[in-house]
Amino acid sequence: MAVVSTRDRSSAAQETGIVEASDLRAFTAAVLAAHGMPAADATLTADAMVWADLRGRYAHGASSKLPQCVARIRAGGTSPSGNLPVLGETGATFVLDGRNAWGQVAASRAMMRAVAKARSAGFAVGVVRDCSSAAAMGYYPLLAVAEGMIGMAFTNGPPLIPPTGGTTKLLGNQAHAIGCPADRHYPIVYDAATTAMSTSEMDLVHDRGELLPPGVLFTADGRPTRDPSIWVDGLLAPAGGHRGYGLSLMLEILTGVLAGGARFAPDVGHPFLGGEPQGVALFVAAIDPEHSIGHEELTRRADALIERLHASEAAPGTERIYVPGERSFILAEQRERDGIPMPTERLEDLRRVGSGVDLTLVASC
Amino acid sequence: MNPTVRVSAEQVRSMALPLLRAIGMPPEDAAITADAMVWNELRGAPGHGLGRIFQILERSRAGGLNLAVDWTPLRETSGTALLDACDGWGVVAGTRAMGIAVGKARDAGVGAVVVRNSDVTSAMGYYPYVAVMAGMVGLAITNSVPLMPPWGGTEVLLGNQAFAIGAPTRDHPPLIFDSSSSAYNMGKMRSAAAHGEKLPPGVALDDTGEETDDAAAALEALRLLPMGGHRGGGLAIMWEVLTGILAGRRSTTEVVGMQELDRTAGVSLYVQAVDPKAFLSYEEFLARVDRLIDQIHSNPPRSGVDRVRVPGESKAGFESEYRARGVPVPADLLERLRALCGDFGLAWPW
Repeated sequence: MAVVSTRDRSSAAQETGIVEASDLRAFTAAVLAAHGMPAADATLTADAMVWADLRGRYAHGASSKLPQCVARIRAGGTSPSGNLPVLGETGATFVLDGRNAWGQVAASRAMMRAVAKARSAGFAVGVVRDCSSAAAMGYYPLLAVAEGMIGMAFTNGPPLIPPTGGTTKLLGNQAHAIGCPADRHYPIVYDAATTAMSTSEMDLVHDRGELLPPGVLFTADGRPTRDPSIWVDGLLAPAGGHRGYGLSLMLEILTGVLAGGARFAPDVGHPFLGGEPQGVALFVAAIDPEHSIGHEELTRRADALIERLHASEAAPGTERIYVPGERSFILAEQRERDGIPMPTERLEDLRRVGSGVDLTLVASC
Repeated sequence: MNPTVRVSAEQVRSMALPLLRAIGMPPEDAAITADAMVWNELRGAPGHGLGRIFQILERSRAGGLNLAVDWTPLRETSGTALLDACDGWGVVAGTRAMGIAVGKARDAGVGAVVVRNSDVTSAMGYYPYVAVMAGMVGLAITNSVPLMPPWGGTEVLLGNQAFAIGAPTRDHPPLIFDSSSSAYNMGKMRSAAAHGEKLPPGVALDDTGEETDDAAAALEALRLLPMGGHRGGGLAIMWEVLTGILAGRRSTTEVVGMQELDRTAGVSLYVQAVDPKAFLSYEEFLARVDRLIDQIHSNPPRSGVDRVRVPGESKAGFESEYRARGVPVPADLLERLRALCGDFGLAWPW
């Protein structure tokens, strides 16, 4: 298998340019549109990519995902079309045929559809079969949160972890995210993989030229390793051992198995194999609190929970307790205002994919 | 070594049901509770079995548990319900909530039910099992008395937030994943303390807030660490959102433990049923689940591992053995049950 991982970025102390979030969104959307993605879908995708850049998660941001998306569209593994036929639906469920659509389009459309159904049913679940990777999952619950609802989004992924006691990769690291609206505070957004460390976190470690902590990655023949560059070929340790394995398996049931697509579990493809459909599956759900305790009561109670967590005693050496997603919101707000610092190499990746489309730098440093 | 007596599933039920009725549970609630006890005994989880009869008796007498509950939902839509358990037994609350979710899912494809003011919920795996028996994928989440600090903290604020997911199968036993959000559950912690075993890293803090490998000190302090560090820590908070926050009554430190007999527990639950038929044909769904299980079973095991298992498989192994040979029940527990029958003027059922 020809594996093209991220290029070697291990040279520390990288040069950085700063790009405005709004410029990066416009640039990303224009490049996607130039490759045949309908304007509305290109805008959705650009927003989801830049959402990750704002949070410092470059592996899910425009400099990683835009070149990947364009390469996949060119090679034929991903369709630029956002036309996702509804294969079946009830008042509270639906199945979308992904038709190899880009995952960020598929997941955004699915969540918005779940939100619309939850408005009357109170709770709605949608699945998408046969799409491409949907990158950072935390973005999608926030589409529900923006409508006053609790949102959940789960995905399967290419095989990375063996079942506990086993030696061969079988399950993906099954990114899963849940979000809840608050009133005075940022929404609570939990966004996690089922592995001890996510692949994008390993890429960041690699970018910084550092080594992995022990226990998160093993070589294909089962020896422990701290080299973040080999995760594609290695075995990832599930978070919490058998608990993370069990959760990975049950998330595969709710995504790959339930969505009924062409692939699931070990047959899901890696995104960097551009000519090959990935066959990713998604599960999204929305809960409208208006049918139970009401939106105001939910956000009041969420605020109280956040404040209770903030007020709780931090361990020595820990500054304070943060709520899931909170650090990312703080960083995103600052970067939305001051621009997104982007390593020069990543800016070059963007320029290369954007041939003809202009990306303005605010400053370089 | 406490001697045990092998008792059939029918005998377990025949002991539990009349005693629960005599304690004051309405017939339907008593039947639900007895069935769950049988299920847990059969799956090698006696801590959620017959012994709970005494807990129900003590908690209801002391005032912490209400046996007369109206289980009509407070609010409903086609896909949701909000249920007030009115301090009723958690097993009845969880089972009834899943029954309602399954009913919703039959029409709407999915159903989610939130329960407030429940007593402790016992083994979570039973509730997805209720959905599985109806041919659906079930999910159940509970909060509990605080046992874990938030990740990075030392103050115990969150329960160990047990959750379970189950899926029906065709040729294999049902798939039931039952977990806490802490690295170790209480049973494993007690077992380590009893055997004088050291804890692995990342399991518990001592009463000064430092991580400890001393199981006895950990049990004393009761500050569990989440599974997978910050991962479980985040999950525990989201489970509180779906239970204590969404149910609209007590949450975090307002939840009370089962040892406080005279205080209502104030536990919340979130249960969800998904009907696979809303998404693909049922036969296709079962074939895919079975194929996934087969793929796990054929995964080459590591050295020192005899075979690779799916979650809950060892419990399913107990079940097939215990159905054939009977459940081992400690002789002293049978004596206490016999005495309790005497107290209520009930004949010993077998």
